[in-house]
Amino acid sequence: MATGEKEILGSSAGLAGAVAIESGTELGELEVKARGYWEQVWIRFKRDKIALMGGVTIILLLLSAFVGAPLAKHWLGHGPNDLFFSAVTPDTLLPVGPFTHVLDPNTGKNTFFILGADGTLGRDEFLRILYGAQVSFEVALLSCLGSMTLGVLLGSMAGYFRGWVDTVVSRLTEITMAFPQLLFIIALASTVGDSMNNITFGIFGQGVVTLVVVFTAFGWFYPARIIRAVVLSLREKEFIEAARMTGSSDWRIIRSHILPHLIAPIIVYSTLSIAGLILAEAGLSFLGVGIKLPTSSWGNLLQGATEFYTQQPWLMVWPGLAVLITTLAFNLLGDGLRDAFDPRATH
Amino acid sequence: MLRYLIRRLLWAVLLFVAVTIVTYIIFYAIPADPARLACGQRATPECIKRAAHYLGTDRPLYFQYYKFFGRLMPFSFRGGPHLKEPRLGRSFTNRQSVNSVVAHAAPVTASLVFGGAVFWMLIALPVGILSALRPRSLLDRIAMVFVLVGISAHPVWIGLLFAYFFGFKAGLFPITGYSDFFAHSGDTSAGPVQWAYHLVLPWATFAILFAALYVRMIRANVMETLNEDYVRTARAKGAPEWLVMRSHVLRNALLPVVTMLGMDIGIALGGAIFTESVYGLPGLGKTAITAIDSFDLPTTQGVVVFATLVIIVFNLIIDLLYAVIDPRIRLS
Amino acid sequence: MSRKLWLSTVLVVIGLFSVLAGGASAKSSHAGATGGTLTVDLLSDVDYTDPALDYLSTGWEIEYATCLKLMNYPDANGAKGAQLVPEAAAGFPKVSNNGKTYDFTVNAGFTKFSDGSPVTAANFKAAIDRDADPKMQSPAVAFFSDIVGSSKSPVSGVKVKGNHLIINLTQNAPDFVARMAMPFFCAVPTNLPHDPNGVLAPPSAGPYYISEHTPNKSITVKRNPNYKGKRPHNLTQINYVIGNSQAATYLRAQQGATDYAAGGIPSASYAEAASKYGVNKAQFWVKPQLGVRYLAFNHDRPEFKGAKGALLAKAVNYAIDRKAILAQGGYLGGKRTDQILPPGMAGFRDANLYPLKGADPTTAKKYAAQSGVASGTGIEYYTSSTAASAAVGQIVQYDLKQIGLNVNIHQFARAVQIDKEGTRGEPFDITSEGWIADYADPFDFINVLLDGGNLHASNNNNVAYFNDPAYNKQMNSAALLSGAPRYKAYSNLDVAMMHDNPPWAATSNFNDRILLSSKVGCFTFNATYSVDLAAICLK
Repeated sequence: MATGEKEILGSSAGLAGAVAIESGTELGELEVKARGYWEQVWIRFKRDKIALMGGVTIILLLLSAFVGAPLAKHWLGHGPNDLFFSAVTPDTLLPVGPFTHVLDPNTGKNTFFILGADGTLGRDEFLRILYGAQVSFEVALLSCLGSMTLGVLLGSMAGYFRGWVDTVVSRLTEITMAFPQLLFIIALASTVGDSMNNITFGIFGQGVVTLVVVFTAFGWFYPARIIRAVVLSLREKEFIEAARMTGSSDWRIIRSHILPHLIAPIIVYSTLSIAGLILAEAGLSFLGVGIKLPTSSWGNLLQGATEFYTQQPWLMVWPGLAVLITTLAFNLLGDGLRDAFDPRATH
Repeated sequence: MLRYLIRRLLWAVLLFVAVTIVTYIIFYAIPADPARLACGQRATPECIKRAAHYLGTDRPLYFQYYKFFGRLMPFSFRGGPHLKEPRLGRSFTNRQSVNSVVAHAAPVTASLVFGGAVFWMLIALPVGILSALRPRSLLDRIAMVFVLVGISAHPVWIGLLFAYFFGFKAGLFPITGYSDFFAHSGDTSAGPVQWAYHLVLPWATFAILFAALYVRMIRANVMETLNEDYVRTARAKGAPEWLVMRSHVLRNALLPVVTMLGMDIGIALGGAIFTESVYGLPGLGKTAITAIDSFDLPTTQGVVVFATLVIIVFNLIIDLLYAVIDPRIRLS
Repeated sequence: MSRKLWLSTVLVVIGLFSVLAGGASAKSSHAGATGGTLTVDLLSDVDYTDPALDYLSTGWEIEYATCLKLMNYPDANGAKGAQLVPEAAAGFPKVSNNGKTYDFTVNAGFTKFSDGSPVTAANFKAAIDRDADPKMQSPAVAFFSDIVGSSKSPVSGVKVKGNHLIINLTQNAPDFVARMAMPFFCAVPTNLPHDPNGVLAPPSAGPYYISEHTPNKSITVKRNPNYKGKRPHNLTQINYVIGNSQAATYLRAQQGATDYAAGGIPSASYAEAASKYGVNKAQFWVKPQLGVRYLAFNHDRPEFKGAKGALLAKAVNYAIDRKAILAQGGYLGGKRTDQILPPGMAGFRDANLYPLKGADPTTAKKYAAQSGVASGTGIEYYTSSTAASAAVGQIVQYDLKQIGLNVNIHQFARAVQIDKEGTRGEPFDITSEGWIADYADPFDFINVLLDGGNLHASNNNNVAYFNDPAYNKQMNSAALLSGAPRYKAYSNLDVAMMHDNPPWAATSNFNDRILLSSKVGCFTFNATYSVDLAAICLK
């Protein structure tokens, strides 16, 4: 398409893509610095306090999701899916507010709800937000892995082999782009989702696998386009010509001469796309086609909060804030990494 | 030029066919029987059989697609070649023509998207240009924070907060609902003022995300252009600053923005789903969600087809405009 | 709750019928004046405004105001509103030929169609012929399949002789007159097209008529200028506004922008509405509906099969916390129950079989142990994907965990759930369901939902796959009885089945929660059709 690298998605799923695309060409033009390149990147990155902050926040968030959540569950003495009918005010059927002690019928003792209860089942909102972070990260990281793998594979093949491979990949990309994506993802999730939601591999919540598959199916073409552009330009460079002259196989050239140059754009794009994927997961779960209850996710917590919109407005603040902090951290880190990889980018 | 035009058009048609086929296969592979649903709680085998026949779901998939595609085409060869109205079929749930369903929903989405676009450009243009001219100024820093929050906060959340504070607490705007732009007979509640009044919050919600993206893009483009040689040359020649800005910097920096705007609007017309579902606007997105919920395949399919068409047409227009502007594309 | 239940899952369309709730008759003040326009907010559109196709409670509420029927329910609160009276018929039909021939005398000089044409017996035949036309694919076919020649239009078993409408049935059916009072059978012009897409604004001969219907947007109902009958018709016009969310509707009702929240308000707001306006005082009305929510046990599965299965079914009935389950529907969402028939249905007798106040894990464990089910047995539980259904699933999961059963919750889109659970052999043990009466007769619950002689390979309503020859026989003979013996037979069946061999665990009956604006002066709740639009007047 003539409009080249400047497409944007209307949906939040493509937001990070849009951000990365803006810098796509710049990444593609990266010069190769054999030694000391990574050191230079690290030095530049260290200087960027805001990006560092983003990185530290992400580490903290990951820790609180995968280590903090089980710890909090242990200390509080109840889980995110445990029901406490005593956490629902009997005469109004509204959930209790923040900082409430709730009677645990199993032990006869009081247990503490930091952010109150989430709805008429009386589950702990705080724990559900923590465990919701797990789901968000699972979906975002796995989808990112899936779409990047597919995208890098197809993109580098198209860029390297050109000819009919390039034509096929490019046409596939255009077809994928012609779909009203968000609409289609929702339709897909609610039609084939029912049968796929039950695939959990024993560790994921219901709906995680569906979302990962759907996001991968619609997420591969941005990285594919970026990588294709990078590989196309690399292909013309002398050192590739030289390698070909010496009789290196295609596979060897791709592996040892081209792939190393793709690491920078892959890292930057992945970081930014994770932010978009977290937003997308929350959006779909809000619409009821993402993560299935009882597994908590920020999206279905937000959806649940709309029931108590006028009586317990705090319930809709927490999950939204969690999404904001997480995506902000990934966006800051992504911006910082891009600047670190490419000091000439003006930002 | 003509060859290029024909090639683009043919590809657009092919693209459209590909999308409808994929959509069809996926939607029709659903595990619910629409005929059973059409007959309600006390469905009898007789009723289900009749309904399946009427809905056409008793025929094989390829035949259903053939019928669907035949209805969709603006011409027919049955009884001699002639033009006809393309039809999207009828809803499974209330047997209304999907054409009229889409025709009712599209103006709502168009109001939201075009109004939203005006809204976000009104924010993005001045903020983007000014912060590019004064990098690291207070305005620039505030703008950058806005950008980051704008692309990181969930539109649904922004919508809920706006509706709570401006709608529920302050009572300034309606919380949900839509009012027609054109008042029709006997309905005094419609009209341009009510229309805009109902859309202020949705516009703001919808615009924030794009405003953030556009501020960022305009700022980057303007900064880049300011460093171009021709701008330096013009300045060195002593051209007045406003003239340099107008005829050199802005013209070149904003051309890609206009293109982007075209594409974004095209895609957003396919359903500004989040904004519509938070504010209960009966647009394409909400129509599609309701239809998907109730397995109303023709309506879902109709919205998807319409949205695909809009995206393809907008892309085609942009491509052609580019070809007009940039002769190199025609030749390649 | 049922409004929300069914409307949110648009497709399972049902008429809502309810006979009076024991003694709870609505008080209404008749202080209003005639005239004025009533605004009604509806969450989503009715499916059709064509009487042959309309099968949704909100639509039937409108049809109650617009339809002229042979027999109808009077515009009255409480028990009186649940007794059929002749409307277009001169009196009750003459029944002959061993209960197989019904002769109605049509005498409707008091009204004309809204387009000015007169009403005769032929208009009622036209309605049946239209319902029967295969082209129309009307859901009404389930309700007149016992008329002779009902599969073809015109129906040979329906004849017009002068002002007589004579209907021949294939067998004796004491509930026939009740079925004929459904909106499917209301008078239509003889030339009303047999359009399978439905007529949006058909002429009608009741106190009102639908003058305009813009799908998904608005419905306009106007007073029929040709109606001179006895039914009230205070309002000049009723405007339905479609699509406002429940939250917006709630605010609009408080501000007086809408007069009737027909699409309901957010379930968390009912408590506030109750404390603000009081219950059954002036603006906020809570009325029981003829419906039941239940967990059906799949009797094809080893766990629930035979005598041992009956013990496990009892165990589940003791184990579930009906109070917590009901709470998921919001304040005043319904009434807990442990029986098949809803209170208010003729034939209901309160038997007090299982604990309603909460779970009784001790007794439950005892029965579970007797049933021989191994601890840790997996129970596949089907439900729909709405948040409220998921919540109920979790409560059941928790409750059954206490008796050693591991519940695996499977959520599906509502339409998919109906399809799956209706297919024989589908691997589920328990499915969460609800049923609202099509018409006020126990047949519509007991026979339709539990007759094992009527099981098919797919599309079953008997999702418990309950098939007990002794009960089947009793059901079939009860269907042929009429009057008091009929209700007594059904009453015994209800209690015996739930006590000896529970096909389900019934959990609650629905309430209709109605919020009106302060402008509404008089309000009548008809036990059969809910809000009586024709009888509403404004202050």
